[in-house]
Amino acid sequence: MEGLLEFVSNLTPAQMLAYFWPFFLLDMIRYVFLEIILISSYFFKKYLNKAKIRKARHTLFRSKPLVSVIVPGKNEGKHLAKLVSALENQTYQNFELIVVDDGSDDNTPYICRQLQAKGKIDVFIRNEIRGGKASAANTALKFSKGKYIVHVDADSHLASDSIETILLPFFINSEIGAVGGDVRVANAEDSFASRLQSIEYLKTITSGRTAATEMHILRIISGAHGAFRCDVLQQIEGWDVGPGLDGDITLKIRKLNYRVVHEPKAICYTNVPVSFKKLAKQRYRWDKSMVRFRMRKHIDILKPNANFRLSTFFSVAENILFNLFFDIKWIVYFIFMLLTSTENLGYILIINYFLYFLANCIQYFVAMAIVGEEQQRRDGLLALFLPLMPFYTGVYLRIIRTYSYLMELLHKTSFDDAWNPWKVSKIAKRENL
Amino acid sequence: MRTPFYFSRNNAASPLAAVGTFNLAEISTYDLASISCFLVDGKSASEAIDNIGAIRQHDNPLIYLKPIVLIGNMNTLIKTVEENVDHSASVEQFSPEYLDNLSASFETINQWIDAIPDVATVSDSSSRFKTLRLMASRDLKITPYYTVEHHNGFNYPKLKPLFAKKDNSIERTLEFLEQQQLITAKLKRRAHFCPHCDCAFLNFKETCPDCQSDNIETDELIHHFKCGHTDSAAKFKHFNKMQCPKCDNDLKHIGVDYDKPSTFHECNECSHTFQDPRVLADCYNCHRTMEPDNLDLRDINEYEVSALGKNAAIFGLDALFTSILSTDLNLYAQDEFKNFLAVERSRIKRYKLSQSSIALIHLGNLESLFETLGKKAEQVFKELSVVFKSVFRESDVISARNESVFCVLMTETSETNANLAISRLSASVDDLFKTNSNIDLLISSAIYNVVEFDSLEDQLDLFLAEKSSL
Ligand SMILES: [Zn+2]
Ligand SMILES: [Zn+2]
Ligand SMILES: [Zn+2]
Repeated sequence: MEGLLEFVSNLTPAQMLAYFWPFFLLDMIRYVFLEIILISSYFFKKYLNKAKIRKARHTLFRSKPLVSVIVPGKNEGKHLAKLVSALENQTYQNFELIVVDDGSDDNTPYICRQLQAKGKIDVFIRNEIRGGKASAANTALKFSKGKYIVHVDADSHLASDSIETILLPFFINSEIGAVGGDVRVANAEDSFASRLQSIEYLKTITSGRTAATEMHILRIISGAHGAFRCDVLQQIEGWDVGPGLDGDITLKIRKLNYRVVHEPKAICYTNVPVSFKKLAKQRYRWDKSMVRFRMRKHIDILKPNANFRLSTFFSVAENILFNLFFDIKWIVYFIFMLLTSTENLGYILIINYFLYFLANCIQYFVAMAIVGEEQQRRDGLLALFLPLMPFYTGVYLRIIRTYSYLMELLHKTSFDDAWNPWKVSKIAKRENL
Repeated sequence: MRTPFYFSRNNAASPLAAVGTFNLAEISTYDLASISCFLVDGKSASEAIDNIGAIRQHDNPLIYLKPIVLIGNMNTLIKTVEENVDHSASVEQFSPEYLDNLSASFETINQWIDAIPDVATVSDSSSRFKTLRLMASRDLKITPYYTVEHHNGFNYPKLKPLFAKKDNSIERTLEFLEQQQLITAKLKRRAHFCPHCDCAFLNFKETCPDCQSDNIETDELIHHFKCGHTDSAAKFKHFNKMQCPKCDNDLKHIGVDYDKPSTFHECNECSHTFQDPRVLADCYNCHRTMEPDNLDLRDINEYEVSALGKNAAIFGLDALFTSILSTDLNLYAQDEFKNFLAVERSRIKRYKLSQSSIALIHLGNLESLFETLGKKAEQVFKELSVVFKSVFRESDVISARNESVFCVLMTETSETNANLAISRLSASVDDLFKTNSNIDLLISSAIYNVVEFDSLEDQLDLFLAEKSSL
């Protein structure tokens, strides 16, 4: 302990930077300073737009456009009764509920037909042959009559003003083509793993996506809760096949020069994996598709006039570097430290831990500022778990991410996504989508 | 030798010289047993139907059970009328030999009629019983005849003339007889009927579950694997081939590059989309529209007389009680009963330790009871057999001479106790009928000491004679 204090007090600013460059040069700037500035800008704009927001709400309730709430999925019947009652409690009521059952092999069709007979579901389409997520969402889109499409996962719980809130941005800015809702953890109390995920969601979704919106670089709208202008969805002709579904459609919308924004006040709660093992599996799947849609399919975003082979090669190389940099820098850093300051390695790790812990605390309080009082009361005690976050994000998630990136780059494993029937995956793989 | 007669209600002359006319108005002037069959003129269908009805709806078994032959020109005979009778022939066919053959062929039926006890004096008013007798006399298997002429879509032509009204009484009668196990049913067809008017002519239609319009269209969904595009099949039609409107690729092989995940319907009236159309049924008779679940689903059966029914057809419906008793109580045959009686008598005589008694019981008015109770008869008879069971003990031996005369050997029972038991039986039976109907079952009985009881037959005759002299 004394040694640690002595080590710290003897550090010059230059040494400080030399020892802890990843934190000071990258993480602190990106996740602390920049985020504080962007979130402040969010609050400031919100303050300035107060009248506009009020007017937007007024317009929404006066024009009352029909909204199609679409719920595509497989074996989701058990969640539907809850979803239906959450919809019944919505402040905005002019919606139709469209459920597409993508080849369920449980009692989902029975449950849906019961709900349909009671008038709780407006359109129910049962696809005997499973077609995958994109096809199910496109089927729902085909039968949608609404001006806006709200995509909801059957197992997410919508807050009562969630549909109203997610629609407001369309009435504030006509350039907006899609709005992402805020996804929060419903089962935070369940386990250690779910508590850590709860903090993670607040950091990466609530404040992370709000900040991304401020920078106009929001890349993803969660399938659990997202709203789209129907005409925009029709222009991009719905969802494409493939695992990176949520990010995929967002990028297609951006390519048409529509804005895509995150609305942190349109809340839906979702259940997250309660064990670290299940969580690892979930993240492995997500991370692989992330690599795929960024590097393979939408390569033109990064390299608009992509030429034949050579340029393709360079852009791929460039992207791999860019995307992997944040994830491999810690390996480089660790090896570097191991070689240059072996005797102080212990101190360096402790100080690093302390710095990241501090950063997590700041991020947590920023997120808490956005979520509002009710959620603050709910999640206040989560702060006690903050000391564990550096291990969770810095070690656990990082290992999974690195592993899945490597796997995805080496083999095109994500085409074998369990969600897509093999026929669809086979075609996607052959066509190199 | 029986001979055919030409049947007439107004003394019209027989078209056949060799055949005499039977005038229904002067029924007492004929020897009914000597008539082999009635010839009914088929020139006019309605006239023929009236005549056939007059025969079958008569209550004299010598009239209504008689074979009927429809005569006329073979080409003009109406099929539906032909189905109602036993035989049909054209006038030209009739020669003396043909008439003899005809009479001979009906001999079995006529002999069956002759076997009816007191056939010359009885009259059958119950259409149920008449139905049973008509079927039994011919050993008739009656099969449903499907027709648009009757609004329930079928009938039993051979039985039709028995019933004056054109309603569902034939079905009800057959149902009743089947319940009583007098006839047996075999399912021929299961059919839907309008619950309001019994009509079988229904139009089933697929309708929109929202507005019930039957103006709906059916379409298929197509899912293009490569781009995930999913839309109705019509959107993929491109001249002579199938092309994806999203990615412009050709769709060639189902299952390889596309599939059809489902079909759906769209309502042209209210534009509702659905996969499960609501099926409704329109009745052609009363014009109501109904859910299929609310329709009557009934069995249309073929019927045959059971062994029990054959017996009942000759001897009367009250034989039913015996059959119920014999399944509920252990009824012994008369011969077995006599053996038990002999053994018991010698046992008592030898040991002189105890007494056993014999009870003879006569149930007076079973037949009228059966007619009054109708459908409820079986249930009442069942309860009656429960009363019998409760009064007698396992060790008692019960036998029936016929459906209304019973002999009971009551072992280890004094005459006093036997009398007590019988009065308990009478009291219970009275109770039963007080709660069930306003008629009574007349019970008469006699108690004897086994030792003094000589011959079962003699004592029974004596008992029945004494009873009727009262
Ligand atoms: Zn296509
Ligand atoms: Zn309709
Ligand atoms: Zn009807």
